[in-house]
Amino acid sequence: MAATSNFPAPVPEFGAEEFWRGCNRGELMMQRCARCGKFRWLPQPMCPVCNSMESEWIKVSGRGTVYSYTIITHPVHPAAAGRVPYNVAQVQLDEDPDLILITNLVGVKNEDIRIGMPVRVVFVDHEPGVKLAKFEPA
Amino acid sequence: MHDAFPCAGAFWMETMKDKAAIVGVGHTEYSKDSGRSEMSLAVEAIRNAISDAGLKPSDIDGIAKFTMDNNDHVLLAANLGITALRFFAEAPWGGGGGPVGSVLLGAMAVATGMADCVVAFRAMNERSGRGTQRFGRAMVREGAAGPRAYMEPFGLFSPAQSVALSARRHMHLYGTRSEHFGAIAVACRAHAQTNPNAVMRGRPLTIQDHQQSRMIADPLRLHDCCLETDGGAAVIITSAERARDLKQKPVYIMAGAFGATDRQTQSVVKFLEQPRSETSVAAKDLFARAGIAHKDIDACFLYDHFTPLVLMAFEELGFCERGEGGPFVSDGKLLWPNGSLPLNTSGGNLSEGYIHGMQNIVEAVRQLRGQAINQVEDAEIALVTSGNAVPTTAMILHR
Repeated sequence: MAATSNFPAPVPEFGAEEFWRGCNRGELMMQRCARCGKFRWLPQPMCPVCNSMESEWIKVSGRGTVYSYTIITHPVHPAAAGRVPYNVAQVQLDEDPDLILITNLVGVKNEDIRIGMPVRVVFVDHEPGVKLAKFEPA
Repeated sequence: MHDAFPCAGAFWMETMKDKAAIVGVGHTEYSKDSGRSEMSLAVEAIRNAISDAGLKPSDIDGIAKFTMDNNDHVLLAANLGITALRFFAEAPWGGGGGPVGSVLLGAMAVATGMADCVVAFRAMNERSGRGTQRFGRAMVREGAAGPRAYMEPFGLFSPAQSVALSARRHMHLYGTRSEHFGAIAVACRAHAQTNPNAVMRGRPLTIQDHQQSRMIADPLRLHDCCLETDGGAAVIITSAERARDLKQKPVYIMAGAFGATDRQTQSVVKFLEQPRSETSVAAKDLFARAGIAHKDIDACFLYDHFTPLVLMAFEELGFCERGEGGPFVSDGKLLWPNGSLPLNTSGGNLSEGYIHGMQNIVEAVRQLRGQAINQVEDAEIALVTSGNAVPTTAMILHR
């Protein structure tokens, strides 16, 4: 039943657990190359700039801007039926223009969403024990 | 910016240009519910293509398939009666690698002597779900793993929804409008009206109809999205030498290219401000290898999964600059018979049937043979692409 009543919960990937643990404790953690300092997104074992396999997890500001968005009106998943219309957005984090996260915007009407709008992270319960990084107007 | 790799043009011209040809095409009925197995669709389309070429099944010794296609090489051979299979290959990435990619694998096999005659095909029950999950529906899973972990928990599932993000960004950056997307849908639908095998025959579409169609994922409307179809389509590739002795006028593979970047990690999400895209990577090599200019192309067959990605493909292929796609597609040039660059003259994924782009290759071949229903006068050179916004493939054909 759970699979049809809610969108699926993330399955933390090997090596990316810290991103999801951070969400659950209310911190937006991004993986950064320990050698050259380039942020990585999605999390991955190697830095594409310097090929280092060393990385560290950095708590970022959680501030960014709306890069793009869509308002979904046609439900393609059973759990979407009661939710349409809902927004899905891409948020570009202030720390690095290559950090563009897929998310939902909260605390704003769908018709008021604009590209370039400044936003900040907020952690929203998805299911017991799982929070997701969403964004609200800053 | 990316440049074609140094010897791309010269080396290709020596080793591959016009060395392989498409000599047979075939397809099944395109429908919403075939009521048949995917194997049944595959072998009917392939048998029709073999027969069109004037060959026998025992002449076929290679099979290049979409990785996504559920039909197995050996089971196909068992149905067709191919007793010595010398080449089997797969092209990944669905509609990006698949349609043109499988043909190019066949072309390389026959040009190197690995095989004599290769079939490339796609067959699926994508609409009825008899074997293949509908692409326009989300797979219901307990959890979202891999790259999906960063999308599906937020309600982003289907390709249309991902494309909506890139379409909105394009509109924001360049002033592109929904009517620009609509021009592509209208052209493909117009071309389907004379095609007896087109799913959308008898249902013409105006730009007003497009504008009034329901929103799927804003800014994508219903008519910006391709069909979902049951059916199969196949082509036969052999060496240029052998092709000259067969039943049909050969259609030569002048150039081909594959392209991907490091940015396609999340479905069909596109990043417009990157200096290169999968399609631009393929395009540079493609035109260098063919040794022709864009103006030499008589008809184009662009993979039409979603209208905004067709618009962007024209930009990334070099027909116009980034951001100019809207006006480029809206001046009537894509419409047969009067347009200068007719697009998907049998209706495409949007209006003929969604056979994952393979039906566009069948139509390109008919055009260059002079056998198309909406025949482009004196068509000599055609451009065929696979899906934009995924790792992709493209080729230039000539008669």
